[in-house]
Amino acid sequence: MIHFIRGTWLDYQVNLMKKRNIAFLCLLLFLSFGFYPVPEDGYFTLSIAGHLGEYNSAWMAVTYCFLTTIVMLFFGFYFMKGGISEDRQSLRGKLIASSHICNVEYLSQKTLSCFLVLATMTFIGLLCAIALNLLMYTKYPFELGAFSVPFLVLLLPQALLCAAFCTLFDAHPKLSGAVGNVTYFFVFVAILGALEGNIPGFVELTEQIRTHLPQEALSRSNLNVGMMIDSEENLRAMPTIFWSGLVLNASVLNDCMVSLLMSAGIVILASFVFDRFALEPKVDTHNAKTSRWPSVKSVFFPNLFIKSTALRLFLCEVNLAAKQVNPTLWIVLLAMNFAILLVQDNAITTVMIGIVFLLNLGVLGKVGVREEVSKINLVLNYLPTSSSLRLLLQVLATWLFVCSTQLGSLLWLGVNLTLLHSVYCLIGVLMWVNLSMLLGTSFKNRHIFDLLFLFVWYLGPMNGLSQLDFIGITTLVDAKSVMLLSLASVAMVCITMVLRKFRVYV
Amino acid sequence: MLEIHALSHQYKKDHFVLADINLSLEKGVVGLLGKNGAGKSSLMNILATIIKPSQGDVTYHGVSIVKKPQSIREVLGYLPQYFGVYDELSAVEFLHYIANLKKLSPQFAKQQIASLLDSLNLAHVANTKLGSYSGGMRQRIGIAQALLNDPKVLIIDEPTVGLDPEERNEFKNLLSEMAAERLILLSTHIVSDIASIAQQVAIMRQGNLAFFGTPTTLQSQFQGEIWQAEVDFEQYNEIKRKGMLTHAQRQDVGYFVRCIAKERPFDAALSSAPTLEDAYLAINKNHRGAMA
Repeated sequence: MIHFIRGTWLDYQVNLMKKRNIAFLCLLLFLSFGFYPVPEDGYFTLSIAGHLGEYNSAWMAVTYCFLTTIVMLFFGFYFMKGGISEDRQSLRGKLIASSHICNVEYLSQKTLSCFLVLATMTFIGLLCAIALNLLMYTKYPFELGAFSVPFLVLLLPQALLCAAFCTLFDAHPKLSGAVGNVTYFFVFVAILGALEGNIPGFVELTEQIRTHLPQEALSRSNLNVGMMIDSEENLRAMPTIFWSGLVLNASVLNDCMVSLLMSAGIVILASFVFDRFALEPKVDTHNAKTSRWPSVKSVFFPNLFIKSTALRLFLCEVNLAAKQVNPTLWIVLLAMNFAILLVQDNAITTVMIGIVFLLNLGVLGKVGVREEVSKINLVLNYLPTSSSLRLLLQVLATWLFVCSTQLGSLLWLGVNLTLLHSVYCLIGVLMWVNLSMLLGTSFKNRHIFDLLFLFVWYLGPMNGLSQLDFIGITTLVDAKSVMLLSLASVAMVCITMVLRKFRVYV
Repeated sequence: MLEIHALSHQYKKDHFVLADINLSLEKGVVGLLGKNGAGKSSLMNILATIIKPSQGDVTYHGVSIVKKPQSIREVLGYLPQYFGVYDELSAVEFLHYIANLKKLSPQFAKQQIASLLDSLNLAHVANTKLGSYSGGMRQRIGIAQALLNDPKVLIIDEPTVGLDPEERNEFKNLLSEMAAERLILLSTHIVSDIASIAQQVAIMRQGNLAFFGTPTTLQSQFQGEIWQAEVDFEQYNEIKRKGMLTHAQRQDVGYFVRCIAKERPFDAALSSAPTLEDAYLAINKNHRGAMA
């Protein structure tokens, strides 16, 4: 037991000061307090059947917990995941695999250390919320009990659940990449939709608040806790209820237990999925896998006659970008691209957009951290070619390759809408490539890029939010937006160049 | 050829990993020896222009490589101790990629790749993805990328890790052949690798240069100070406690030991000619100071 606790504590200490966790803490505080109920502003807050709570300690704690739970379960997953992958990449995994530690014990340690990091963040949030309460909402007396209970019984079990999901989706190399990220995103959206905002643990809370609602509100149907955006006037006009705090009854504790048991179940499930850092199979050099793509020699035969080193290097980068993708998938995608030009079929378009999304996520997410993950930095950085030229060629090659997967769509946009739509789409792809490079260089992992990509795809191309529709179908494209996107791309590539120039590799 | 002037480097304040190193390196193999953390890799990274030193300068044919790293990069080959490759590429593709980064002409690159794959025994897996290579094969690809531009300065950190005895021997022969025309700075923990090919040896200790000269000079410093004998367990412990031991081998009864001492440490001890390993261990243990 002492080894288990010591291992968890060490892992927690290692995780706590990681750059991505600090970035997540900032995001958590920004989102939770950015939408915190400030009576003077239009805001995004908790309302129940058209009623707002009075801003006493109990209501503020619940509002904070509700917002933080959503942020933590969604964004937290992407930021916190990766502890097991890091062990795998750093070859620590091989040491762990050969040790006596069993799978459940190792995964429990990882889950608990991740939970402790989330709990620390929650604690910092609690301190900020208390400070805010004492400084801004002086009308109501500060009550520590009413303030702390929701943190303990609502937020911490959800933090454990989030940590367990991180472990599950990190336990196998095939789940820890883009496929796992996409799967979790849709699982999260589906579950949230199915529960209609009634996250386990919050159900009893809703019931307790309901009892404080006036009769006319209770007579309405669908009295769920929900978040809303409304104008200042509407919010001011909204009737308020007084609520004195969460009562710790059997039902609340039961909800707590459900979250704990679910977390334990997920960790046990993860132990079945966990590959225990399975070693690569021994190489049979005579029958070893050859590259599925044709070799650079046959594709770029004129290579020998190209005088420009930069151009030859560019062809190598294109070759490398192409190697990230299954060639069959690429050919199918290209065929579908052109098929929709001939047959305007919704089913083909839907499937194609799905494949484009996954393929782009795979290629774009990888390119930003390619040098980091493959540990080739030391070899590349003594070479006479500058890191800036290498970056530019990587960007161009990846951009060209990603655009090749959308060739038909680009033509379709140009023919059926305007040429500006095609240009917007092309620059949209360039922007993503640059963003991947920038985030990969800054954070040395792809999680944040994956998260942003998923989020923008979900809101933009999938839900038709025109401002974020970078694939250009529903966007009200104009020259100004093209210009803005281009400037953003240039700025990102310049920042990445500077970061790479001053990055220490040793 | 390569001059190191008052070179110091620190990662943390008040902690120098390299302190005032002065060296003049000419053509031939220079063996760099030292314990882990002695500053070997930092020195190599500075010479390979990966990091900039905190103080001092390094010049290549009179031009500062600290101020103008490009002046050496085109004639430099570097094999770091830990490195990665692009798993998706085959050996030929990867080497073509590196050749382009090294700005080599396509014809020369093609010729070099074929010749290196052949001499490093990788020709039969030239079109196999690097992801399926074993550790030793990856190491050989690392060696190939370092030698690709036929470098005038070759810096190699632990090159024989993962190679089998036959490959190690072939690699040492390759280095010996190449040494006539270039400077090869070879860092390793395996003293016997250096003993057979290095014309000069540099020994690092706690960021300082403890010795620089030929292996013969180093060995001669300890002439008459190396002793060997069969000893019982009690004597063995005594030698070990005094920090004199350089080699021990368990026998049926007791141990066969080699040790360093100014005077005959015990009656049964016989004087022996110092090997490079004896001398290296003695310097590393700061034995001269301890025995004085």
